[in-house]
Amino acid sequence: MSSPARALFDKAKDSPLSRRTWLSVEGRPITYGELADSIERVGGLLARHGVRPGDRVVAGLPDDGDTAILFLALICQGVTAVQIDPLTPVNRAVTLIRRARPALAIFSADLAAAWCDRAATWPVVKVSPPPAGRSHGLSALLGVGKPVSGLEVLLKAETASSPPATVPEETLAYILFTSGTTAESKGVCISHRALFAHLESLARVYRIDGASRILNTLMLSHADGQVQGPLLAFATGASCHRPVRFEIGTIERVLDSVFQQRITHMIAVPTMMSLIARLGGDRSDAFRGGDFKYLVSCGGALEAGLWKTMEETFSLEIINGYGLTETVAGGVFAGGGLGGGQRGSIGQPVDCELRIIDDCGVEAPEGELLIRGDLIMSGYFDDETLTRQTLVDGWLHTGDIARRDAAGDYWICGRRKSVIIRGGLNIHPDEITEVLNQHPGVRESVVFGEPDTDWGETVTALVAAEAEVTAEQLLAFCRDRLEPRKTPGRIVMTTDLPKGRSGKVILDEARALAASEAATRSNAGSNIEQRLLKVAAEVFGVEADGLSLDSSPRTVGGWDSLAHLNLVFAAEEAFAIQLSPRQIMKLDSLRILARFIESR
Amino acid sequence: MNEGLLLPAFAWLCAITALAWLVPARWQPLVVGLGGGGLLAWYAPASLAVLGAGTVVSFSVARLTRLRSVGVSLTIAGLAAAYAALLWGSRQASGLSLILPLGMAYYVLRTVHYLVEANLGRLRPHSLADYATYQFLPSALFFGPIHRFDEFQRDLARRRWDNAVFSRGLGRILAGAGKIVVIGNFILVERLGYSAQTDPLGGGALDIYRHGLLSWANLYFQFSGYSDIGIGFAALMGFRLRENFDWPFLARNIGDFWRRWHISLSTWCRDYVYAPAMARTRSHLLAITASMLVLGLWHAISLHYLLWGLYHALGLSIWRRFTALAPAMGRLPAPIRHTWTAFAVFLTLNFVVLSFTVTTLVERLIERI
Repeated sequence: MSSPARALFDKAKDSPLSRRTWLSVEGRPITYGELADSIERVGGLLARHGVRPGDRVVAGLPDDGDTAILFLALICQGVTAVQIDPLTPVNRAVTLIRRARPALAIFSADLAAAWCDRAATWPVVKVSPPPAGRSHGLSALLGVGKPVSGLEVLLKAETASSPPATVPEETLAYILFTSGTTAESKGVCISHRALFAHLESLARVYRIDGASRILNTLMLSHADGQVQGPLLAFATGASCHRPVRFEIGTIERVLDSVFQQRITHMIAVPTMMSLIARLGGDRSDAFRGGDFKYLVSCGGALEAGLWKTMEETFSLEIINGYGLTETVAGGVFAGGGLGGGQRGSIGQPVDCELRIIDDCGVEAPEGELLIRGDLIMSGYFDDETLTRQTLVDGWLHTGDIARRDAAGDYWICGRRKSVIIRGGLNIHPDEITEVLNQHPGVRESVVFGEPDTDWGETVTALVAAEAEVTAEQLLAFCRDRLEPRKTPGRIVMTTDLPKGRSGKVILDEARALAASEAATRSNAGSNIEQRLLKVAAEVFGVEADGLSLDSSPRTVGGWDSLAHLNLVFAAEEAFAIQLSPRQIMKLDSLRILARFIESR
Repeated sequence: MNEGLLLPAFAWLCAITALAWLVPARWQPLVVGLGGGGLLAWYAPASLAVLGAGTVVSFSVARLTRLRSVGVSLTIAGLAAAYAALLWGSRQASGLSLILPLGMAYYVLRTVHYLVEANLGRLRPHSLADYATYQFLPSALFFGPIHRFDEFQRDLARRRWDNAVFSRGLGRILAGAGKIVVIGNFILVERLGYSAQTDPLGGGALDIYRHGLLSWANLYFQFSGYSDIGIGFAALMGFRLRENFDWPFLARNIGDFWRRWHISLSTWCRDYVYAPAMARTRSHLLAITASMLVLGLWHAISLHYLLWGLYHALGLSIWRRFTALAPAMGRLPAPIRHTWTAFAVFLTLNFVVLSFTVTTLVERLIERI
């Protein structure tokens, strides 16, 4: 019997699936047939470089389409894919590549130039940018030609080599390096057994089939981006769509794509949902196109209020998935048609067993959550000690504190590990502390997460440094050495860090110190804000909780030009001010109105 | 529009609809825009030249980074003056032989909306092709509704083939044609003998009332029929247009009526006349009078429409005073409330039906004086 990867490859190569879209990246469709062809040609490329099943190949490509093709091709060829985020700073990337000891590296030409030092002992395949121009002749004129990618051009010269018929289940499909100090970054090893067993579970829980269209704009260098996107589509015959990178300025385009592409499933982190809830109000019918099934939340805790707001505003159903990179993607699910899982909970296990233990390792009503099942990682790459600490008797110690209620639903109460989850992405504070402490003016620092309505958490650093060092200098220092998402949102300068008798930093006091500074700054504004939100709520006939300073005619139902005037007149009366006609017409959010009020 | 030309126009719209789905996706919106331009060129090439040039100018003004407010104000003033002059000139039996470009009435309103929104910084990024397609959307070119640019952009981004929408679009076209041909042309004109040429004040009181009623009914069925056809063809092409009518004869007061009759025009006046006038003057009376005068004179620069605008402004102002009693009305026993509602619907309908009769009467009195 052939391996799951080979069986899926055979299906992709066969008509009629071969003609259907597997992945669409910013308007560039890639069919299953084209994917199958690329998988075979990657096989030829690997054979030419003497790469054998079980070897590791490191990949780093900036193009999402190429990244997804290569990742899947390596897995199908029985090779362990090690993907490096193209935004990884040079020092860190070089260290990770060295640690991976790859049989081959496949990088874009510019990344190869930056990441491959002279000491590199592994062969490097450079993917050059595609030739200028998209297509030629009549097809270009009519706009029917397809954009050509760098990987596509490279693979054209390779001979086809089919994937192996069988791949041992324990063969590593991929290694994903998680956040952490450069020295301590963990390489999570996921086997073919874990990957394909879990993909089957995801398809079952999300009710995905060949007719499904999955929208997933998460980063492909993270499990939720790859596994719950291109890989899940490949496993089910569905199509995966990445219409545009998700940013504040593209929210409307993403929502329009949900409607236009007849998306059935959208994979998102809570941060994306928070932004959609705040800024996507005038696209509230995007999910009512008749095709949409589930919005899948992953990568962080989904707060019950946001869950409710999203379901009610956009008339959709949410499935909240809980999982770690170490469990492929999920494992525990709430909501949807699962028949369980209250809002705010993580629901119940689907393809795994759960246990809760206390500090002594005894079953307890509240304590650390343990997971066991086929979806669990094989271990951490080249780190026996950490693997033994994390995987005990087949149970994965998640580091999350959980409890189970009478209905059988599990709830996450906190974390044992000091990981910051910002926008669904894990950030290890030690990695940032390591960078800050490299600054010659910094004596010591501590980094922690602070709650944030949009991002879940933001990164804050409390730094004890020489008097001449400023927070702005340290931010610039971090920007040069860290990925943008890891750069602290706020750096608070202090003379000394709060410490206990043992000399260890007292995290709660550090948080309080940073919070008191933030509170001082925001107190002045909050009074006007609260009063204004109350006035606006009365005018629009809604709850004040449902409004924020970002509320605008696009996000508040009924904010037409008449309600606009009523709002202005009510605010003028409440704050004893008078706006000019131009100010009234220019006003397009409560924030602008608050600014006018403050300026008077 | 000459009714003899309706069939070819219908055929042209069908052809554009087919092409708009058959050509490669990136060309489809352009086909729709070119189809609208082609339709205009066929009827009145000069109109296409005028509106096309205006489109380029307004697009350029909206993109100004310096002195945009001045540019927008001057362009709107110039556009309004040109429209008023052409509207005035085209109605004169002698003297200047001015011709109002075909489709200009709705074009002016769309352009003012576009420029004001640009000046307020509310427009999303777009190309000249997007804007031109918006201006020349064939199904809304001659009879509205006055759709908005942000709604058009959203449709552009969401446009997709949809069997159910296509089917509903066909149904809407049939319903529109039925309103025009069966109810308007056959029942009201042929069977009940309505004629626009009849003197609205001729005959006895009952004849005058009957004429007013038939006139209003004919206007509603003809106009809403054309709106249905426009909305239907837009749906066939993958666009959604605003609804223009919502059972106006069931309105409970004159304010309610203007939320149900020619909705796209009344909301345009609310957003671009009433709101700025109210912000500047803080007087509801002045703002509503300005709105209804613009709304009236948009139809024709004449004493009749001036009076018609004032008539409705007066009605709206009186009704606004009356709304102070609304909470008390709500506390009345149900039978009294229901009776009152029925009376209010009757009263509103008659206020509207008699608007042309009353204004014609006043107009003649003024002319005599």
